[in-house]
Amino acid sequence: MTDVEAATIGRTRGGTAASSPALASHFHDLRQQHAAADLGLWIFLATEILFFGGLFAAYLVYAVLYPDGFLEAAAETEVVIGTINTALLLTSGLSAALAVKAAGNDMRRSVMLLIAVTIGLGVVFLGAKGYEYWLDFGHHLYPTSPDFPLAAPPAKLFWSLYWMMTGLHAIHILVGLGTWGVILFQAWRRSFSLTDNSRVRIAGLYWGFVDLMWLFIWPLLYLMGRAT
Amino acid sequence: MSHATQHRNDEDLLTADVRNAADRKALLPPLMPELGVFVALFALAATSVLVAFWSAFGGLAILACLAIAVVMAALVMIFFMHLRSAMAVMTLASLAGVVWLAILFGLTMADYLTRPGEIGSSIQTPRQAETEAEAAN
Amino acid sequence: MSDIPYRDVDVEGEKPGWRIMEESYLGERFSIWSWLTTTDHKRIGILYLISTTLFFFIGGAAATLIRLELFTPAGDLLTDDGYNKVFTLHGVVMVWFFLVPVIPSVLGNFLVPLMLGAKDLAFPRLNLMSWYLNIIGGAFAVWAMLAGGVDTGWTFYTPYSTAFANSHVSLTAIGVFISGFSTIATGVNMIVTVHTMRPPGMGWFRMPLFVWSIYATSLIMLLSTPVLAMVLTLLITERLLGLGIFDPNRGGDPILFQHLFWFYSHPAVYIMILPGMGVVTEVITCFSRRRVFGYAAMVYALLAIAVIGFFVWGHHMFTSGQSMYASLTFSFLSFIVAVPSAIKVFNWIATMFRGQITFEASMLYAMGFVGLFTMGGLTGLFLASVPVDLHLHDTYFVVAHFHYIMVGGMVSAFFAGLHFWWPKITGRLYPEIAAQIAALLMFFGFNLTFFPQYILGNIGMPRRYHAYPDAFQVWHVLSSAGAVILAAAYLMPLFYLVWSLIWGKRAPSNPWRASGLEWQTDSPPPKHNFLTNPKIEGSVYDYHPAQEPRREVSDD
Ligand SMILES: [Cu+2]
Repeated sequence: MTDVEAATIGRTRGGTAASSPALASHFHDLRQQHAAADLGLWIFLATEILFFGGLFAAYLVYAVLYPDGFLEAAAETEVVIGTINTALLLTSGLSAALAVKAAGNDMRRSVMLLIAVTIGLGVVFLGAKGYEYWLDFGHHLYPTSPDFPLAAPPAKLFWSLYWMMTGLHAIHILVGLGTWGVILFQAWRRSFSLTDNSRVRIAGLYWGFVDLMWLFIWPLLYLMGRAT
Repeated sequence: MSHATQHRNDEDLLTADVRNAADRKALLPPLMPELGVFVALFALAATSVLVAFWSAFGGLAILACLAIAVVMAALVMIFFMHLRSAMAVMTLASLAGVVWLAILFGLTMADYLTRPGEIGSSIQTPRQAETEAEAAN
Repeated sequence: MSDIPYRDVDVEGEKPGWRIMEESYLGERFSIWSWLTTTDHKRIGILYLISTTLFFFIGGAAATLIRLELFTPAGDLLTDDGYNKVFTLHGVVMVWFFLVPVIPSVLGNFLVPLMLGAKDLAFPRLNLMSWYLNIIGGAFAVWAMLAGGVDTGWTFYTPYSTAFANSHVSLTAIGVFISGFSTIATGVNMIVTVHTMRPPGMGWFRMPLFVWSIYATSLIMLLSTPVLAMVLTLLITERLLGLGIFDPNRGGDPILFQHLFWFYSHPAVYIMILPGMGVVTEVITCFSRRRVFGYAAMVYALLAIAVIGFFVWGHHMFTSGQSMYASLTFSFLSFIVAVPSAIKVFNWIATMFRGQITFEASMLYAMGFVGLFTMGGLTGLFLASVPVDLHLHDTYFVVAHFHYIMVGGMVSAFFAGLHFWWPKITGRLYPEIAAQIAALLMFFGFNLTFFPQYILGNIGMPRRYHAYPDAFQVWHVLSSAGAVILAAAYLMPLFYLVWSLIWGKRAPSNPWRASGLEWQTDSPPPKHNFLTNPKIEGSVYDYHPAQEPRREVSDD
């Protein structure tokens, strides 16, 4: 009998979920455990907001100090790829949110399908990002390049921020993909209970955050300086 | 105490249990409201692109884009990250992140915006400083 | 006034000591492996105790070299470069690998679940991970030292750290970055534990103030550390990848580094002092046999310090080229943050007023804390006022000021807590008289070391110099002499505490007749903390003068 079935039977027979194998010994019940896991992740996300916040603060300061230089530098980013990536991430945000919902309803097949879709979209995102990086390199758009095409000194500040922001975001995507991959494998092996365990919800929250950061990176790096 | 929660209360658990096996093998969970939010997000993203390329705004288009981004972020948090049904303290946690970001931005800018002279003039590259010093001699 | 259940000292009771030991968290399994893979918050607390002690002595060794060098005006013991590296090592190790983790991760880890009547922290494996991250980060810092050292000072100011320093800046920064994750992990764990695992009957305003202080500390950790992580990332990428955010050649502003750095590092001062305040509150109320004066005010003061502490960072930058208006704003806000600190000092004193004070070692340390913290805090006001700071900035006055807070305050508080809960942690009583002597020595040694530095700073001795004019020597000699006493006072506990592990008397479950759930279980506590559910009755600090402070037992 798998964990999932055991947990379900335990509950339908009138027992409480307290007997679930997913319950760690230091919690009273699953509700407390789930609350702890969710709150823990939300707090972690607040720290992530402040982590990226340091970068955004640098962007804000320099954009205010050098508005012209930033507008000029921002016009050089690959807006088409950036916008396609926005669409990809929004779609993956939908599939991830639905995966969380499906897990709450104990729909294993659906969870696996939706996670697979999320992973697929994330991989395409990274592929597009890689192609974009390749183009940027071709245009010498990195601050240490001797042939850096833009004259104004602050342009290099913008492009430093570009690499930092997109690079850190890509690392977060990678971590998210890894997490989804592990969960997909575990769901396939039926090694944890979808309803008793917080795993899918936690991964969904993290993925939502990665989405969120992109929603600000996208206008700051790609939509900036287009109205000429 | 703060046990009053949450994503799934007991009744939900029970409904999940009595849901028959066929139902649990369905390919997709109920799509609303996530799908509706998704459509709204796409519409907002499209608006953002239009605003960005519309020349009437000039350099300030970015402010409009960021305002749209704030709305989109709120939608993602409330619906995709299920803040709608989460405990109040989780909303508080996410808000704390945003508020502290505002402190960081606000007090940092309090310095840069009140430095003497035009904005940005207090900062010179070493080369600019040199030329200026030479001109002064 | 309900009775606090305590086990009488003389009637050691139903269970023989060896049984308690065997059933305790210490007795279960003893292999190294079982300790290194433990998820028990008590054992992780001990692991942290060992690692922070180690880092304390590494940082202390560097301090010794500094004081030796400054004994004479000439730079004879160390080269200028070597001196830079030594004080950087001292700062980095003491701040991030001793002061930040020491109380939250040693005492907080051990006590928060016990004080809440819980079996463990919310995320036990995350807790263990946090220890590993801390020692990995520390290992990077030590590696950087062995590889040749860092000479930027613990503040890593740009553009020196990015464009000029030829030492192992990146390696050290990576170490600090990693330890930041350890801090965040601890913070998440504590906050979630307090929110979700309080027992029924313990409302927010019935929590022990130590738990409140750890809660407030964790808030600061979580909201400030990420910004440090980012600023270090920017520093590292600027050095290694040429992504120059602070590079003046590109219009970058090195002052921006200071803004981001102090957004973390000023609140970090409160990370290093709030837990000490929590410890001292517990100790003072116990040994005065008086309930804490103004419990709610103590809570609000903790939270106010935690929040307002984020609005004052610019007082480190009055001479940096920051706008004058910003300086005045930051100066004003810095004065505001002194108010809740003063409330706390007032309440400690009011708690002791008309109490039946007894002078156990932990009480001596705690009273030392109150005095030294007050002095450090008041001199902080000098530095918060712009005109005075222009005179004192970057002098020994600043060094004296923050050592009064960090060493006089936090280290005293740590020793207060360590002695107070030592019987609970180890199940042994330490020798009281030796501990009292050490506490007094520490107080006098500390003042002799650091008070002269206030004077040195005021007469113009800048910090971070290895040679100085002869006129300053007398004060430096006094300071170095004090450091010798201080060193002895730090070494003493190492000996008698270890001694007590083997030869100390067995501790009863509540040797101080203190209130608090942690005293309702055995000493040392069983693996799952409580064999029977602890009773929550009366108010938090149910002390009554009629309850005699303690025994005439352990005074040998
Ligand atoms: Cu400060």
